[in-house]
Amino acid sequence: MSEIRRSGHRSAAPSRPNYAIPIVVLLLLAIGVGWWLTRPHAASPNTLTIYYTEMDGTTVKPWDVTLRPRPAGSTYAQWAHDRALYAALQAVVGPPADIRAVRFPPGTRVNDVAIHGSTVTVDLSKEVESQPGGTFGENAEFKALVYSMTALPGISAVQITVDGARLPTLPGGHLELDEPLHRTDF
Amino acid sequence: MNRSIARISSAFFALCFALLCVPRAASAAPLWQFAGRTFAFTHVEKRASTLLVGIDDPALRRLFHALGAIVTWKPGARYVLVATGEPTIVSFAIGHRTYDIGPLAVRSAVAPIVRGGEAYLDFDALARALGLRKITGGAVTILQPQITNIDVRDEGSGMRVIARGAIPLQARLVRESARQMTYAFVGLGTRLLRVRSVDAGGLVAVEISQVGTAAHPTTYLTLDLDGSSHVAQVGSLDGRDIGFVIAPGASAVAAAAPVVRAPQIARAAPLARPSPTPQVAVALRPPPNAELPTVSPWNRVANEPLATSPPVGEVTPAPLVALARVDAIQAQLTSSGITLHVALTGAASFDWHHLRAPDNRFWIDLHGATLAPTAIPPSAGVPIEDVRAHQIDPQTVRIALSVDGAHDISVTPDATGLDIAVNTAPSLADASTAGTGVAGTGTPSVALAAAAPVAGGDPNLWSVNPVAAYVPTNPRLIVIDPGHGGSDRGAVRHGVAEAVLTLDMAKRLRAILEARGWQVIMTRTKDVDVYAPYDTAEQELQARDNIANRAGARLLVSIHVNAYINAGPNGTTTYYAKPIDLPFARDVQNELAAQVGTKNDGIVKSHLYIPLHAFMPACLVETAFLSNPDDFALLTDPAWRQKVAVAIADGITDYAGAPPPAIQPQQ
Repeated sequence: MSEIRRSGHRSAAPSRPNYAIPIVVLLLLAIGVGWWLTRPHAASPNTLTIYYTEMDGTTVKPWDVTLRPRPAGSTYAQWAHDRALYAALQAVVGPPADIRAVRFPPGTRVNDVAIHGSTVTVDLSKEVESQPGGTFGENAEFKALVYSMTALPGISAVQITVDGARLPTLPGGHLELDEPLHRTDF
Repeated sequence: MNRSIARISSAFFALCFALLCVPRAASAAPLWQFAGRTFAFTHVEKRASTLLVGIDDPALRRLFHALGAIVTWKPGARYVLVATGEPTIVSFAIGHRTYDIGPLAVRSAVAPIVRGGEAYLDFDALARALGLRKITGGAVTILQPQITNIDVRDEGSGMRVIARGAIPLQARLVRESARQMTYAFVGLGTRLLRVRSVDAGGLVAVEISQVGTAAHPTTYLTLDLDGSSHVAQVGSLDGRDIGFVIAPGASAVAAAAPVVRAPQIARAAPLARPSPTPQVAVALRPPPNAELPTVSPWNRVANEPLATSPPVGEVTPAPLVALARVDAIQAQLTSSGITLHVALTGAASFDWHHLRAPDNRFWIDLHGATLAPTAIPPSAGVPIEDVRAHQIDPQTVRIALSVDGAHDISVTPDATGLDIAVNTAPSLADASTAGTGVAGTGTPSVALAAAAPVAGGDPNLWSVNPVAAYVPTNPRLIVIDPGHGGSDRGAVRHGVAEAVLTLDMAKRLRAILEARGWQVIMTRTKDVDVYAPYDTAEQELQARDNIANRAGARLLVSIHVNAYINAGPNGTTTYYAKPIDLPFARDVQNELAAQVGTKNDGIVKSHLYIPLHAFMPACLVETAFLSNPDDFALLTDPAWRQKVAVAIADGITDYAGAPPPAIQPQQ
């Protein structure tokens, strides 16, 4: 706005044709377009919200993680898969050590994830079955995982498999895992 | 002499092995040493002078195992994700030099590459991320595990010093006096060598020093006390850290302490959220965000009893009302975004909920409505990512949307149904919202209004789904399920098995209920499997539900004992799964909280098999934690188990009243 006013004032002065004004305007425009194209997106898909369950066993808290570097030329499906895998791994590994959280049994791996529509399948390794007993840990672990996965855009349900197989429950367990889990299940 | 011969010979054999396996790498294969073991990597690549090691390398796999690290990658994947034992996730991207150690972006000398279906990582970068220090000297490069982090926190009740390292830490008390406590960490080095003055909570300073050789280091941690305090506890909270709690009190306590104390769980001082000051932290990681926001709507759902709940479990006939019908859901683009029109025949009350970023989800429940097969949700289009409609119970249709950002969503009922308008203009509001109303032509009858409860009072509360009426065929019957049993011991601590405790409490409960006039069936009366020994968990759990379902019982209560990997969690919780379980679970938990003297952990909704597959109101009582010493003492006390049985029986009475009179055939 001030640029225009200033330039208008200057062009009123009778002198040689001034090419500086259009050049400056074009330059500003170019800078603006450049900034617009490269600006950090408000809801950058690189940032994922991961949840963990506090030691009360029920309260979930979010923390943000970033998956970098931004891959060039990946398909949306691939990028969605990468994000989902990273989110699942983060949720299973849990927040930094100085945050007190209910954690999955040590050594639990995320073998892979697969997205079908609004359901993501998270394939965990056998270590997840070594629960200490009791509903507390199972409930808190899967609650955090389900919250983390359903924080991904377009995901509303989480199907758990263990080493590729669907399990009705964990051995000696309490939670029903046969059907996809939703946030409303907790 | 013998030792050096052994070392040379082992190095020679490792070298020969490397030569045989990967001839091209043979000339460059250096020897490494970790925790006294010498090895060579066989899956190696060289770029410039940088060593890359394949993630399937056997020696690297062993190293990962020793460090408690897990690598996730498969051919075709872009990211190589390494979860360290810390735990921190290190993410390498194939072809990119930048990698992340938790929230920190770092650059490696060489980008990860893929050769022959295996990812190769810059080993220097990897070692750094894993908390290993490379010390090169002579023919062997030593990988020295590091103490990566020492935090000092003022927790109000006392100071806590926490050390973390690349491997699980064991602290050995080597010197103690009234003013100084020195602990040794054998096998670990550190770069955190310094004296840090603290001058708070009786802790004057923390000194860190290191002795020994590169291969056999020892790090000393000395706590300088001001004489008015002592080290009250030494223990690990998660198995990988060591915490020292400095509490006010005579230092004589320290002198009386055993010289080497096994790591034990600090339970007297449960860890509150760490106070960020004062902090002496030198770590790969910045301090955590102390002000993590809470997720309010979900927390409410999970933690708070719902304000209103319909009368449940009481045997009332289902109201006979004509249900409204959702005939169609149509999308229409408008100047400000997109509008979904929900065509309705008849009238239905509704309540809607809109969760803001990061969820960006909206759903509306139409109560007293059915979904016509013709009502197919439109395919998604910007800004809507997903539209779903389903019959969540016989009288409720839910329409749910996911949107691609923080958009305003408004609901306008009219005579033909209702409009859901999504405005694409970015919304400044950040609070989740909710609302209720009535849509459609017909006038909602009194019966309909009664059949379609909506959450009253607080509009942020999620309404309870209308109750599908359950009519017990035997309203005098209560089924008690003692958790686990037989081949499934449940949680076991110090030789005490959950299966035994639950059976004992169930028998006590049966006696009380029978005395009060109830008929009782137990899913097991001995320490046996209900279905079969070594059956699957599903067979076992379904067999228990079948007993209650087939008998048409009024209520099912499953008795369990909780446990966790450490002694921290304690208390009593009643879990439920279905809406009709909620009032029952609440009554049981209220009595337990009032009578048994454990911490009241409240009622918790979870996707638990037993209550989920029971037709009747059911709950699962986790009476106390076997893994907590105080709770353990209670669980092993018969008098306390009797209290639990009485409390559960009182909860049943609160919920169901007195048992109905027995039918006398002769009358």
